[in-house]
Order: sequence, then structure tokens, then C-alpha cells
Amino acid sequence: MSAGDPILQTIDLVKVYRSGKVDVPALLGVDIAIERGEFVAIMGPSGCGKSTLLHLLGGLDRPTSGRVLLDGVDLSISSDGQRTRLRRDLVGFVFQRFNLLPTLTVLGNLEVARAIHSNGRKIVPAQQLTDTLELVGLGSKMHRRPMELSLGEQQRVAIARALIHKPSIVLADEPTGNLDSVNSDNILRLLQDLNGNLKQTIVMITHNPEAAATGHRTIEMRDGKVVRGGAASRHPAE
Amino acid sequence: MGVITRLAASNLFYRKTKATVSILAVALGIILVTVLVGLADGTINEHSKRIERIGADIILQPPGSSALFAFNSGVIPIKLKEKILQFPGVRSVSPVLMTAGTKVKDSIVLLWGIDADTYPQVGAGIKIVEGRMFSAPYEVVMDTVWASSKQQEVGDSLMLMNQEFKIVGIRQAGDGGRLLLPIGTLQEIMSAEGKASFFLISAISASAVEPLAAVLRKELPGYNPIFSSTYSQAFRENAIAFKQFVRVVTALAIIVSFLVILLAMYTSVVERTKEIGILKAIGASRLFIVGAILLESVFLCLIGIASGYGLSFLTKAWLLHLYPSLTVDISWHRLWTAGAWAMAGGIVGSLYPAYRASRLDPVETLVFE
Repeated sequence: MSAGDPILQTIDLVKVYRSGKVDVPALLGVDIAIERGEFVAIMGPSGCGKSTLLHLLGGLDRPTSGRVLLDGVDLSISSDGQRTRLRRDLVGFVFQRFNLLPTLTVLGNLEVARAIHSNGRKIVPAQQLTDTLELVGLGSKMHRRPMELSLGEQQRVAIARALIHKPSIVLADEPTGNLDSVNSDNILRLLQDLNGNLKQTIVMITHNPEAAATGHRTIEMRDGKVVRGGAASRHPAE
Repeated sequence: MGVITRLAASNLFYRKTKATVSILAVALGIILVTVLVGLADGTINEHSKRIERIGADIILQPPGSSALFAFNSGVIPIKLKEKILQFPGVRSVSPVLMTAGTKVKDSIVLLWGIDADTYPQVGAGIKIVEGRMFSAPYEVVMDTVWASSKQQEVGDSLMLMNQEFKIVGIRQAGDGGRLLLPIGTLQEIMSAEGKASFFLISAISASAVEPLAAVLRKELPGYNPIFSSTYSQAFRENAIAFKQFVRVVTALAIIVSFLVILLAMYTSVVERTKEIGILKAIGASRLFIVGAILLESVFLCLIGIASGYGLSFLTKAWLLHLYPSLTVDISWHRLWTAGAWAMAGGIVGSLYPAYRASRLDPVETLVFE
């Protein structure tokens, strides 16, 4: 695996869900490549397979056929345990609904993530938690519970949680989908800063063309296929 | 405190009502074992100790009987006393006729029919604190515990087995039966004329006790002489029904703990499906998920067990307040056993929910609402 190889690549990726006795195709031969340090937006109408693609890219699911290469490792033939380890060490997930643990404080949420990541090859220093909270502008609210924060702040916590182990790649599933325009702008600016300053690869699903425009490239999908922007057109890491 | 410990603890109290009900259910299992078994244990202990404290050297039971003679009616011919008195080493012999549990003033009590002349000779005697010993057929002497708990005094009447007795004396509690009446009267009421449940025998000296027991075994084949000093132990060893009772109650407590924790943790896993999905998405291993669920169950059980211990002693105090003549023995051994089984039941009950949580598909959990 050379530095010039894509950090994420799919080859003829197919995913078919089974609903009762009916096959429901979600992805029909998707080929994309994402370089290190790229900020890629994936756009398309509802049901076009964006989230399915993101789940496959992050190793949450296995394809029906085709290959997913994450940092050179073929996820399509990896076991559950291997994919879990790859997610833990290389990937940070951000979700539309934040999905924070409601019983813990902001810091507690990050400590859980730290405990999980520290089981792997990355030992996350405690200082990293407060540094990351400062980075997302929540240093003063680390002892609050998620329900005591605004939606925008909750999403910042979710982003901080995804970042504490300095993942190679951040996968964000409509991170601004639940936010108003002001908070959306803040989150997008934050993701841009992370990409620009920390050189993290970001793959973001969005319905919003303006949000998509914050990335380097937009992959457009329709009916389970990539219709535009699938191949890497530049090399931000260089 | 580690963050996983905090996560488990905070999850526990996030849904307070469910946690409280689960804790109380685990506590109920503990109370079942400690109080119910303690009550049975206490009753047996107290009964056997009171027989020990009479001070006789040997208790002679009829052929084929166990130490649980309390449930036998009179089967030994009284005239056997004269034969026993001929054996070497015998100082005195006193027959006792005992009823099975008899309902008196809303309590179950064993009535002791004794011979007022020979009973004091086999042991330390009867210490009357008020009134006198009975001297007529339908007179009864009760101990201080019974008199106090039933608020009865010398001169009162008392219905025993549909017969009216007069309370003529109150004696110091601690040994023998709580209610003593003339053996002849009890034989008549029970239609057991000339019969006794057992004999209390005293030897001429401590060294004569064992040889006397050997003589009794030889001369009275089938009869069962038990040394008073080991009576409690023999009583408990023969209490097969008691052991079965303890097993049944303990099993019930385990099943309660198992089912409660199973239900609590199962619903908890369903409620937190999405959270578990998130943990899996950010790289939590199956072991991590199982550990978090098990830890939560352990907390639930620990609090339930601690509450159960506290409530057991409160229940005991309440029972003794209501029924002062009861004895409830809550031993450390029983507390430890009840706690260990409740914990084991709880952990086993959480295994399936933990396994299920660890097997959840992260993609399905992320879309779960």
C-alpha cells in the first residue's frame, strides 16, 4: 500500500437486501476511489443507496458482491472482528441523529469512545479528550449531559467523539440533517477545518448542494449507481 | 471509577422505576431465603435448644422415629419407665407426651404433657416466676414469652384442644415446652392413655451416660437414645423436610432473580438498541458490549442483594414485633448463600440479553427507532 493509493476504494460494489422473499437492490456496481485527505460529499435522492454505501465503506456491513478496500484491506472478505478492529482504529463515524449516550456527560461520552479505542492499537491519552472538545468549541461544556446542549452542540460532541483517536477517515451520514442553517454552517466549517488542518479524509452524505459544495468533490448517486464524480480527480494529500 | 463502570451505573438509574422494581424483585428473593428459611431454621433451632436446655442426659425416642419426634403422637408405653429405672446408671426417667402443632390463640404451639413429679428430677427443674406448678387436671403453666406475647396472666382461662384450662403459673422461658399441662390430661384429650412421645432420662453421673445409652440400645432394640448434648445436631440432620424446604425456597429465589434480571436486561437491550449500535459502529468489540451489560446486571444484583439484606432484618423485626414467640435465625451463612445465588441467577439471567446485544447488526441498530 503506497501513499498514493486511495484510502478508500470500491470495485463493482453490489448490495442487495432481502425483504421477506423479495430482493431489494441498494447498490448496483459502484466504483469509487477516495484519496487520503480528500473531503468528498455523496449526494443523491432518498433511497439511492448513499447510506448503504457509507455503511459498507466503514465496514459496518458486508457487500453482496464486489470489494471495499479500506487502507488496502479488503473489507468484503474480512471477519466481523477484523472489521470491528478496522473501524475502531481507522474510522470515525458521525451520524445525523448524533446518537450520544444520554446518561453520560459530554466528557463521559468521549471517555467511552476512548476506552473502546484504547483496546486497540491506539492508546488515546486523556489530554486528547479535552483537546478535542476545545477543538470543537465545547471545552466549557464538558460536564453537561447531551440533553442540556443545543442540537448543534450535540453534533459537535458527536464529531469530537469521532475524532478523539485521530482516525484516518471520518464518515459522516448527513451530519447537518437535523440542524438549522446557522448550526449547519458551523458544523460544515468545522469539518472543513478538520480536513484542512488535520488532513483527515472526510466522506459526507448530504442532501444539501450547498453543504456538498464545501467538499473537494461530489459523488452523485441515483438508483444504486454512481452517476458522477466516482473517480478521484485530485490528490489533496500531496 | 472506570468509564464503563460509570456507563453501567448511569444506565441503571436512567430508568429509575424499572431499576427500582428490578432491585426490589432481587431483594424479594433474598428475603424469601433469609426470612422464610430463617423462620423455619429458628423454629427448629429454638425447639431443639429448648429440649437440650431441659438438662436431661438422654432423650429416648420410640422405634423407627427420627429426631423430629414432635410430629409423632404418643407411641411409647408409659410402663416402660419402670423397666428403664432398673437399668444401671439411671437416676431418673420422665415421660413427655407432645401434640403436633396445635392452634392456640392464633398461633401454632406444641403442647407438652409432663409428669410434674419426675420432670424436675431429670434436669434443672421448672422455675416458676408467678403463681405455682399445676396440681389439677385442667391447669396449665406457660412460659414468660408466651404469657407476654399473648398478654395472659395467672388466673386467666385458656382453650386448648376444645378444653378450658386455667392458667395457674408462669415459668421462666428457655427450656421445654411453652405450654405445660398434666400428661394424664393430655393423654385423655388425645386418646393416648398410657402413652408418651419420648422419655427424658438422667444418669447418675456424666461418665454413666454413654454406658447407659449402650444398655438402652441393647435392652430396648429399635429404640433411639439420643444424647441431649448432640440433640440439635441430630434434630437438624433428620430434618429432611426442612432441607427440602430450604432447597425449594432457595430455588424460588434463584428463579425470581434469574427471571427479573433476564427481563430487566432484555428490555434494557431493546431500549438501548441504538446506543449499542453506536458503540459497535465506533469499534466496540462483542466482549466490550457483553461486559457493559453484565456489569449493569451485577450492579442491579448487588443493590438488590444489599436491599434484600436490609429488608430481611426489617422483616424479621416486624415479624417479631407482631409475633414475639417466633424465632427467626438469619445467619451469615444463609445471607451469604442467598446473596451468592441471587447474584448467580442475575448473571445467568443477563447472559442471553448480553449475547443478543453483542450480536446486534450495527446497520440495523442504526436505523432502529
